Formats: sequence, structure tokens, C-alpha cells
Amino acid sequence: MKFVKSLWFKKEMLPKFIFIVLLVLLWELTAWSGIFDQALFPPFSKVFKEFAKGVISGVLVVKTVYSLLLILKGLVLSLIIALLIAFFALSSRWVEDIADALNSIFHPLPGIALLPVAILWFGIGETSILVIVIHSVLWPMLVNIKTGFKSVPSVYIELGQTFGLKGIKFLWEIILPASLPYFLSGLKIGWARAWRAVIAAEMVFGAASGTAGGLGWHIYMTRYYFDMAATFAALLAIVMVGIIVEVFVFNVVERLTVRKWGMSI
Amino acid sequence: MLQLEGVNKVFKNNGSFIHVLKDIDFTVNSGEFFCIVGPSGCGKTTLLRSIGGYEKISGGQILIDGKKITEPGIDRVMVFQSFEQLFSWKTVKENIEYPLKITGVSKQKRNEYVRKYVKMMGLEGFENYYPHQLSGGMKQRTALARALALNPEILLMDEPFANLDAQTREVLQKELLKIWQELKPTIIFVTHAIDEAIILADRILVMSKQGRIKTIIESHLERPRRPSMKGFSAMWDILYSLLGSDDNP
Ligand SMILES: Nc1ncnc2c1ncn2[C@@H]1O[C@H](COP(=O)(O)OP(=O)(O)OP(=O)(O)O)[C@@H](O)[C@H]1O
Ligand SMILES: [Mg+2]
Repeated sequence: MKFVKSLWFKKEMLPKFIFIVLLVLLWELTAWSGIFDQALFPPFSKVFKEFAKGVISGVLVVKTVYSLLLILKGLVLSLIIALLIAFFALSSRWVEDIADALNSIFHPLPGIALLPVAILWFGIGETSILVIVIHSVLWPMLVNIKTGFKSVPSVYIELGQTFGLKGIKFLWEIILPASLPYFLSGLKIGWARAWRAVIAAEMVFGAASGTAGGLGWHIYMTRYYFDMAATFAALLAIVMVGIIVEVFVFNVVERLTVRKWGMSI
Repeated sequence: MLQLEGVNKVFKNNGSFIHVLKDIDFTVNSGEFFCIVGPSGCGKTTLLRSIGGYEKISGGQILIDGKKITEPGIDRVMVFQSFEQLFSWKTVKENIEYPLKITGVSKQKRNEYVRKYVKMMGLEGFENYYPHQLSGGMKQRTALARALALNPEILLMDEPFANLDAQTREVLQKELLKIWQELKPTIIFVTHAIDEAIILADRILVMSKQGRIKTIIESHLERPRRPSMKGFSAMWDILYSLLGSDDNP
């Protein structure tokens, strides 16, 4: 247990923690001071109560899980596509040029700007959201992975050739671990971008075509009913998921890999 | 046996051409310790990389036991000068074991080899260290252990000890000689330290700044060789003047 704890908890995190506590206190005091209408600016205690209620009743959990699953699907698909493109770009000048051109075209396009097109092509529903998520994640991820692949020392590649490594094994056993810091930072950026894309897309048409709808739709609806505490509770859920993933996924993975191996960008 | 016949190498550098290796002809016998010395930039690394199959030569041919080489292969393993040649995500033990695994050596045999070469290179107790936790000397020892475990026909070494302090270098030279005498691989060893070449080599190839073979010197000094022994300084003088008088192509 102590070992598990030492994986993610570090003394350096203490200042961050204290800062967050202070911020929450300030929030609470401001809300009760009467400067703003509490209907617009609910105190943290009320938001937290709403949050707890949502968690216990399961409403918030269901919405969060729904959005998370979309994000996960988008991330995995983007990852596979980005890896394949980056790998082929490594061995073919043509693929690289095409990938660069596609990147210049699509990277600057905000995902949400493509939503109307996606709706026309894929209908109102999950597929459209997924397309937007993939679009938002794929390009920054591809840039990172390609940069990572290019940064692999030529010594590693030559050793791999000497040992007779080929194809997917070369990618998996040499290129990928050697460029893992870039890969992880691409994943982090992708994760953040996926959240934005999902929330934005869900706000436009979350619960349509029989689906439960995710957090974005939830935020939209609670705002519609002027239930500010519930809106904030949904925001809190997003923040919590973000922190949990940062601490328990990214930090742990980094500690078990790149930091253990003395690698950094 | 390694044969180089009329090897030439031209690099294309954004439009201009650099003719690095010019008409390189020589033969290295199996089990020979062959050193290459020459001024910086004369093409030693390029020559070694061509033998390794990492560079495409522009003319001539390189043969091993009569067969032309075109690409890297497990029969020629290179130990680089860089400390960063170990896979940083693998421990010392895993680094040595990995190429054996790829080439299909059984788990049992792998363990045996790893133990043997860890011991031979004095890496006991460091098996589970990651490269970033090792000193430069330890890294080079590991790289050498990894190369030796593959039992290559030819060991290509590009100034592997150049970045080490004098003491560590001397220790590693001694150990390399001991291992060479035991396993008798063919070793082609690039250096620009004259004394290192004399201590190690059966024959020393001297390259000119222009990328030609100046001469190949045979050394019959008895091993172990020490700078104080008879004939050492004479050899040193010869090599020194050969390396110094480089103005006439
Ligand atoms: N990939 C390359 N592309 C273009 N030119 C190159 C390349 N590699 C080496 N050269 C050139 O070839 C020449 C010989 O380089 P090389 O590295 O073989 O010299 P060296 O004898 O090993 O030098 P040093 O003793 O400094 O290691 C140099 O002029 C170098 O600039
Ligand atoms: Mg060199």
C-alpha cells in the first residue's frame, strides 16, 4: 500500500493542494459575502452538495462515464491512426509529405467548426461527436508522435537493423519506447483536447437520437433550468476527472517509465 | 576474412560532393586485431560504418569470406563511441539479453550468456541498473558485453574508449585484449590515440587526411605491451611522423 501511495503522492504536491484549499475557501466566502447573487454564483458548499447528490444518485456518474467513453474511443482511434501514419511517414517521403499537408490543412480548424458538416454526413449522434473528437486529437498527437519518432537516436535504429528487427516489432520494441516522452506528451494534449471537443459537441446535440447524453448536455440542460449549483457540479466533475487522471494515470505511467529510465524531452 | 577492394565513398552534402574514402584496399584475417588510425575527419568512422553496412559505398566492394555485404547484419556488431548506445528503457541485463532474444536464442541459453558476459565485463551487481544510473565506463562495458554475447565474426569498435578517463581506458584495453585472446573474434578498432593502437593491434592502418591508406604497419611486440618496453617508442615515433606529415596527398 505504501508503495502504491509513493507512486503518485509526492511532497511536491503539497503546495498545489494548499492552493486549491485556499481557492475553495475564497470561493465560499465570496459567495456568502453577498457581492453576487447566489443564484448566479452558488457557494462551493452548495455545489459540492449537488455534486455529492449527483454522484450518489448516479446521474452525474452516468453522464461522466458516457462522455469518458466517447473520449476513450476517440483517443484510442486517434492513437492508432496517428501511430500508423507516423510509422509510414518514417519510411516513406511520400507519406510524410501527405501527412504534413493534411496537418497544415486540418490542424488549425477548430473541431466545433466541422460539426455542421459532421452532422450532415454522419447524422445527429455519437458518430458525429466521435468524428469531432478524433479530428481534435489526431493532429496534435500526430505532430508529437512524428517529432518523437524523428528524435530517436540513429544508433538505436542501426542497432535494430543489426539485430534483424523489422516492421511492427521495430516500431513496438525500439521506436516507441525510445520516443515515449513525446508520445506521452502527445497523449496528454490529446486528452485535454478530447474533453473540450466532447463537451462542446454534446452541448449542441447531446441527448438526441435516444442516447443518454453526456456531461456537456448535462451542463447545457442545468443552465437551461437555471440550476447553477448543478451546472457547477458538472464542471466540478470535469475538474475532478482531470485531476484523477493526471495523478493516477499520467503521473504513475511517467514514474514507471520515462522517469525510471532517466528520459526527458 | 574481411576484404575491401577499391572502396570509395562520396557524400552528397546539399549539392556539393565530399570524396571521403579513396581506393581503400586491405584484408583483415580472421581473429586479427586490426587498428585504424588517422587524423580527425579523414574517414575512419565512415570506413567502419561501411563495413558495418550502415553506409552505402560509392565504389568497390566489401567481402566477408567472399560474400559481398550490402546491409547491417548480426555477423558484424558495432560498439559505438557514444555513451547513448544502450537502450535506456532496458536494464544492463536486458540490454545484453535483448539481441539474443531477437535472434532466437533459448531462454536458458540467454541466461547463461548474460551471466557469462556480465562476469567477463565486471558488471556483477549492476545487472538491474538502468543505463542512466551507470558511469560512462560501465556503459561501454555493457555495450561490449552485448556485442560479445552475440558472438559476431567481426567486432567493429569506433573509439569506444575515447570519452573515458585515462585509467578506465587502460583497464578496458587490458580487458578487451584478454577477451580477444580468449574468444578470438576479428576486431577492427578505430582510434586516434597512437599508444592505444600500439597496445592493442596486430596491424595498424594509417589513413591520410585525404582519406587514402597511407600504410599498414605490422606489430610484433610481445603482449602485454607497455610504453616502457623495447620497440614501443620506436613504433610510436613512426606512427607519429606518419600522422604528422600529412601535407602532401
Ligand atoms: N552523413 C554524412 N553526410 C555528409 N558528410 C559526412 C557524413 N558523415 C561524414 N561525413 C564527412 O566525411 C568526412 C569523414 O568523417 P568521419 O566521421 O568518417 O571522420 P573520422 O575520421 O571518423 O573523424 P573523427 O576522428 O573526428 O571521428 C568528414 O569530412 C565528414 O564531414
Ligand atoms: Mg569518427
